[in-house]
Amino acid sequence: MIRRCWMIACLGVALSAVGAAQEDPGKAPIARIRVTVYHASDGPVAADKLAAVNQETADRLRKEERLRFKHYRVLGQDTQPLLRSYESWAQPLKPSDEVLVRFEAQGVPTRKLVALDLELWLGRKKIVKTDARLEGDRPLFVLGPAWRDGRLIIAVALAPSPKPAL
Amino acid sequence: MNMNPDETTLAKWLDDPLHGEELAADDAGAGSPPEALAARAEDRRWRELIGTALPASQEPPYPDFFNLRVARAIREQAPAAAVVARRRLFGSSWVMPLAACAGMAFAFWLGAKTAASPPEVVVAGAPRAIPVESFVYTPETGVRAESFASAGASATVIVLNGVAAIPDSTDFSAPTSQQDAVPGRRATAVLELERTDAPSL
Repeated sequence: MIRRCWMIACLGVALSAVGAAQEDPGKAPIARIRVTVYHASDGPVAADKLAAVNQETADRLRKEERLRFKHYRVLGQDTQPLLRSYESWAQPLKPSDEVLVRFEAQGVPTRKLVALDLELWLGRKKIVKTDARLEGDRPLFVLGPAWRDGRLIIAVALAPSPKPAL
Repeated sequence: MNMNPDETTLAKWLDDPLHGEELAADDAGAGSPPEALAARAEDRRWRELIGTALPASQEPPYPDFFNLRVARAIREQAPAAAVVARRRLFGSSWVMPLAACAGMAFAFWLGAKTAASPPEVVVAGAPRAIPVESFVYTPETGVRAESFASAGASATVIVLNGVAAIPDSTDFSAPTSQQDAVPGRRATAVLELERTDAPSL
């Protein structure tokens, strides 16, 4: 009986080792990218369930003249890992795919800088392709299409890495 | 009378096998020049030296044998103290590795000193690196993008112009895949989303 248990344990270890060897290292996450869609408007705020942005974000957006509006509300947010070899897609307005952001790494990121190949898809059409360099507190803002007396602002930023579980 | 001795007589004279009248005749024939007498005396001296070093029954095998004997005699007569002192200094087990380490350390130091001071040409006003402008490509017809760095917002800003407005009736809480107008493109996006959702942090 004991011998059989040992054989099963050894088989399990061997299978797990084979699985680990077949793990694709290109799927290793090297950073996390957070995509947020804001609705910026100067008109009256409709009484809906959209949450207003925090004051710090609003002040930051208002410091840029082209992004200056009276009201900012959060439409959606999605955080996706930046993979070593593969592209990732962020879908901030789930379940809608009206706004999609595709990104992949241009190189090995440093602690402060991540270089990306980034595409913005609106209405399932590729609208913008660019190379974005995201620093710790330096996001990318895209002043996008008009919607309901305002404009959509798509923010792409580095997300803080989660603390490893102990 | 022939006053010049032939080679055989001269060899016999050098080897000293002549006696009596023959010796006297040869001495007179050779003319007893000082150099000949000195050569014969030297030859006799070497013969006596060899006779004392070797038994009479043993013949020297070849000329190198003499050189070997002479070299050994010189070594034996050399001051032994200097040799012993040198052996004590370099024959010990720690002096050679220590000297090697010191040599390597000196070589590394010398290399670091020479590599740390490359000649640098400073040109006033020249940029340290060529700045690379980020590109913004808008494949859709009629869409223009303007990219700039915003110091106020501390961010990179892209302003899109000419992009079609989203209808006010659009509800983002509903999946737009049901209203799909470009099936092939949507299928690609959904496929990639499913694939990249797999890894977890």
